[in-house]
Amino acid sequence: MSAPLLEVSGLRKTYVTKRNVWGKATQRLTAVGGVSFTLEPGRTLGIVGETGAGKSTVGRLVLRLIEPDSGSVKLLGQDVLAMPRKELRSLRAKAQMIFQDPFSSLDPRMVIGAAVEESLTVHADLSKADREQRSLDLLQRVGLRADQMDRYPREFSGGQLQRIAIARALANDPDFIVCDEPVAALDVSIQAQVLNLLLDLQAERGLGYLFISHDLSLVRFLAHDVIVMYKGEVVEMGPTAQLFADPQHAYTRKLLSAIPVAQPRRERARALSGAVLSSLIPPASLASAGVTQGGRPSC
Amino acid sequence: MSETPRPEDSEAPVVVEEAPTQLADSTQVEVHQPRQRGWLHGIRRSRPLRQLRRNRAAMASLIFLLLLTLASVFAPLLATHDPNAQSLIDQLQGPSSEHWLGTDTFGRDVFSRLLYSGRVTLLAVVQALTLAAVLGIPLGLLAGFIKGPVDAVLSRLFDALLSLPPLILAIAIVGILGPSLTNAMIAIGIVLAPPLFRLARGAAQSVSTETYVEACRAIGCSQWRLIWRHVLPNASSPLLVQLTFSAGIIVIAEASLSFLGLGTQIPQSSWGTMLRDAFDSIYDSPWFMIAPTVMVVLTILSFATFGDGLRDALEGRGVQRVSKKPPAPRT
Amino acid sequence: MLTMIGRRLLAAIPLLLFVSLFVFALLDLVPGDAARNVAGETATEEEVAATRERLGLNDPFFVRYFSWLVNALHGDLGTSLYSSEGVSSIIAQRLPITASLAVVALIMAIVVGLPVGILAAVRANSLVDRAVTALAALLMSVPPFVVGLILVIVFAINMDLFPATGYSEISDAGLGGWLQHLILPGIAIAAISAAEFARQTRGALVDTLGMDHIRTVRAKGLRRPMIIGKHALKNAGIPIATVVGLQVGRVLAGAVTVEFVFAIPGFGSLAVQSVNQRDVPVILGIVMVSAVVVIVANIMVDLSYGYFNPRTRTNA
Repeated sequence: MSAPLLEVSGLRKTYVTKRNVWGKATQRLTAVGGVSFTLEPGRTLGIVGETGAGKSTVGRLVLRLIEPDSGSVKLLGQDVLAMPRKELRSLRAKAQMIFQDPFSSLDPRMVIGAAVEESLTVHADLSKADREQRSLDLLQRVGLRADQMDRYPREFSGGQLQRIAIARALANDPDFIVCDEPVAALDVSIQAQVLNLLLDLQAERGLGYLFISHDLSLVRFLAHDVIVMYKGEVVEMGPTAQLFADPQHAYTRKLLSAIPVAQPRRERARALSGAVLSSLIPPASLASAGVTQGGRPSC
Repeated sequence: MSETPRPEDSEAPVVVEEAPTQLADSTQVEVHQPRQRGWLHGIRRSRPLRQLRRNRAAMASLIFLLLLTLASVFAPLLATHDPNAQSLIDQLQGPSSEHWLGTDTFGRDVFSRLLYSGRVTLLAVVQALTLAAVLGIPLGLLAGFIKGPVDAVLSRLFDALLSLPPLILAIAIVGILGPSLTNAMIAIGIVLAPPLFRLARGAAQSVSTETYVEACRAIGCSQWRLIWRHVLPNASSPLLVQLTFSAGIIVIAEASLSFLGLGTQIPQSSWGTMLRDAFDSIYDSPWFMIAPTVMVVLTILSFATFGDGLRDALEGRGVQRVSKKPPAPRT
Repeated sequence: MLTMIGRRLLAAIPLLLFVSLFVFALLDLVPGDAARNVAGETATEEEVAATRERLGLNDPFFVRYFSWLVNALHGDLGTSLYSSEGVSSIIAQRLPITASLAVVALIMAIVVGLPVGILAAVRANSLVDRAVTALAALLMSVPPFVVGLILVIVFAINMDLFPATGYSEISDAGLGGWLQHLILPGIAIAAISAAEFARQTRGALVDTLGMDHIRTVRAKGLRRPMIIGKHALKNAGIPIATVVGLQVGRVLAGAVTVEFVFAIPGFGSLAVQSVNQRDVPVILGIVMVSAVVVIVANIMVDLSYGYFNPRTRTNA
């Protein structure tokens, strides 16, 4: 087995919510309180929990978009937290993020071709023509047309924008992508195409995903392993099938029981349907349901 | 920019299924003509510009300002006389075919002086505006984006500047540097920087919380790149509007300072000094005021009107008025 | 309410310190030798040196700043380099003149601008409204001193209705004589402000009249003057109060050129005069006093928000 893609241990982040007259913190809110986990290359780790559970904070902490208070993050064998800014920037070629709201995650003043090209400009030493060609390839890979490259984000639908965001994330051949509620802002009918794309890309490129969602059914389909978070703490962690079949923690059980059972989920499964469904669930997990190769939770 | 009709304008948007791609795209997409890439294209089809073109007052102002610029650039060719040539025989003449706008107390040709003065005034506008922009905008973007102690110090400084009546501060600065047009423009540039700083700071602050800024950081953009490629373009609308208004304020300030003898100095002349000349001979020949007054007022009015039009266009107010609200009933 | 005033005043202190430091530093850059200017063209080297010592020009920057600041807090803004009079007393003589000019101008601006703005708002998009809007835009484009020049030509020279120049105290010339000297310069300064008032009042009222609560009182059957007077104007009060605050600074600036045109010995002409003489202590005093005036005006505007909008009372 290869070295882990991402190793996180004891990650903590607190926010000051009140200060006294001298600016000293008198009250703190723990957003993330000591989270540890491991992610193997080419696999998906789902993080579920209700709003405010600290899921998104974990995603941003891992990429050091926010600075944690303590803990360690090892990404691709490198200590992310000890890195100087410059190296951190070059690491970001290999570790990307997809945001919840596709409408605001692209600069409204920049045509989408340029937006995708930008990450190449920042990292890769390519000629202008090569960059343009590569951006075009990427956009076509996610299902856009060449003539759409010089359009502004406002001219696209949410699903298209999210695919553009994925193309942008892919520009530098990353190994790891944090997907922060990537389909939560999309119509249910469009969610499938984005999720399909993510799964296809994982199969093609061996990407590792940190998939953050409040939607348990999504996580169940996509993730090999699942972390359940509640108020900044990990309450339960394990291979997806196992966790869904036999939840240990009371909160997990509560969460599971809150899924509108039977019909809606089945209907969604049907909507994804037949051939689509088989591609939605990667072969590996179809065979083993993620149990045999389950990431070793470190708690 | 020519007014050649473009296909998109006349064509109703056609909605068809997207061409089959690898993904089954359930969304429907407008089909546009394939477009040539390039900034000119982007500008020509931008909605604000189209709206601005429909604003007649703003366009009239723009045309006036363009003509003024042309007249200033080609002043040596257009002037009928040497603006400083004095002639005691010709003094205090009314308009004639020889002197289109008459002559002043020294027998100088008013039309030629007006042209050359416009040149001085416009150049002053460019100088002061550049200084204000260079002082205010980068610092404002930086303060709003980086925050922290840098922001605190800069904001205090510009707040202090803002709490002074502009003309008084400008006069004080001229008093320190000595009266000259360049010094007057330095003073005005300093005085006009705080509003730009504030705007830039506010815009940078609001832009910096947008997801796309975080997304760009996630890509690995440097701070510098973020500020110049993402924050500045997104903050540019209010700044552009403010710069236009500032230009009008500079014309007022230049006229005021030169009128007081603290700006443009002999042998140069600006509209402000022409007004001063008229004031000095106000009992003999009050009509000298007319020409520079008309120019000053029209120029200020044009900057203000164009600024209003620009703001309406960039904020999309006119669009709303057209599309969302029914036209207000006339009473 | 009192604590709020206190807090605002407290916040003004660092602002004023910053202003004073900034201006003091600027004035330090004055080229030329102040001591030589004061001692006179014919002074010997020794006399110049003695003058420099007397003026304290040999001390380091912060020592001079600090001593100026301490004196300023005691109401002593230093001594004019030319008249050897105290800066504070010079300003104290000039300020009331400008203040009376400013009050006359502000009253005129409000008396004209407010009703015109209301008229335009009530008849929004009518011919009247558009005429008002256009006229306001035109007026706002005329520098105050140009208005002054036109007024002098028309009313003082051609019609001989008002004196073209000068100023007289109420105690000397009586109310009529005092006012007579202030009418023309007052109009010159008020023109821009009146236009601004009309514009802002119109804008604020049009917005307010479109709000739901106005529609409600209209539905209740309230009559129009009542709606505008009691409900709409109060809501439109905040933008209007803001304009009043802004005008204080503008009137002060307008006074500079207008006092020059009308030869009024006020604060503005003092500024021009001291700049022409490079009278550093006076310039510094003028800048500081105008900063105080503007800051106090801003605080008063903020406090008036509490009256117009009770919601801001608790949390500001």
